[in-house]
Amino acid sequence: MSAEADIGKIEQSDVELAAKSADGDAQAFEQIYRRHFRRVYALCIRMLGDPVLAEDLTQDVFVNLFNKIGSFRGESQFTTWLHRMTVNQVLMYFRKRSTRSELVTDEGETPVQIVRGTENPDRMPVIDRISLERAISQLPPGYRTIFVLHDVEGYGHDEIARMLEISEGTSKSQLHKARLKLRGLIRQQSVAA
Amino acid sequence: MDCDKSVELLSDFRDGLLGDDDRLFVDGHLAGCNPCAGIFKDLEAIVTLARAVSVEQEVSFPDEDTFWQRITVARVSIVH
Repeated sequence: MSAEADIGKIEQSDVELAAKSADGDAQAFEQIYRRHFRRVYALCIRMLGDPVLAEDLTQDVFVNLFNKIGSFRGESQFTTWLHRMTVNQVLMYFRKRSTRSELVTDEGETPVQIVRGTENPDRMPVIDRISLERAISQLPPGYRTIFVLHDVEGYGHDEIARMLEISEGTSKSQLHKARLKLRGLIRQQSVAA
Repeated sequence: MDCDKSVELLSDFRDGLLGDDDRLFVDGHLAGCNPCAGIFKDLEAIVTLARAVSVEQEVSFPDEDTFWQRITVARVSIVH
């Protein structure tokens, strides 16, 4: 048997594993968990910014997945389906906690002041992933959610508006504020360093 | 005043969401305003890096086996 065929035999597709899980195959569900755990956790921590909360929500996602896996029909990619389930779980957490104000942030931000000759275009250092990650984690939750959904995860404003129950205009305006806030945070990091 | 308006429109400009009038206004403004052009470059860098970041990078993960046990316990406790 060729190595390729061998791998094909060992590696079952998500759809196959989901079907087996739905039929009560615990090992199949564990394989799904091990295949997707890191992706789910990473998305949770990006959206929540807190490792303890991210663990709680990751747990909720997989418990929810276990209960609902029979409803996966294979109409979309399993990863897309699970990704959407994770985003919804985090958004539900935000809603339960209250708080529309956390989904939509208006901190009364000081607008970016431009004074000709004083704004140095080179002030923001060349950024790397670590400084961007650090800055994202410092964003207020409302800004972070929209920035992660749009700029990291690639959702459109129409989808974000539906998920967060806000207008597309609000989504656009919050994204812009989030990006400006990130710029400010990254500049602060470079000054502090 | 033009700078305020320009900064306000930079994200939509970057994302290609402006109508012709606003797009031409920002385009023209950035061509002659270094501070605003600098802000635009910074936003562009942030968005480009965000898009390039894989969701699994730069994350410190909990132990996979320990976490699996936790999920198993949570599942069982919900069932019973």
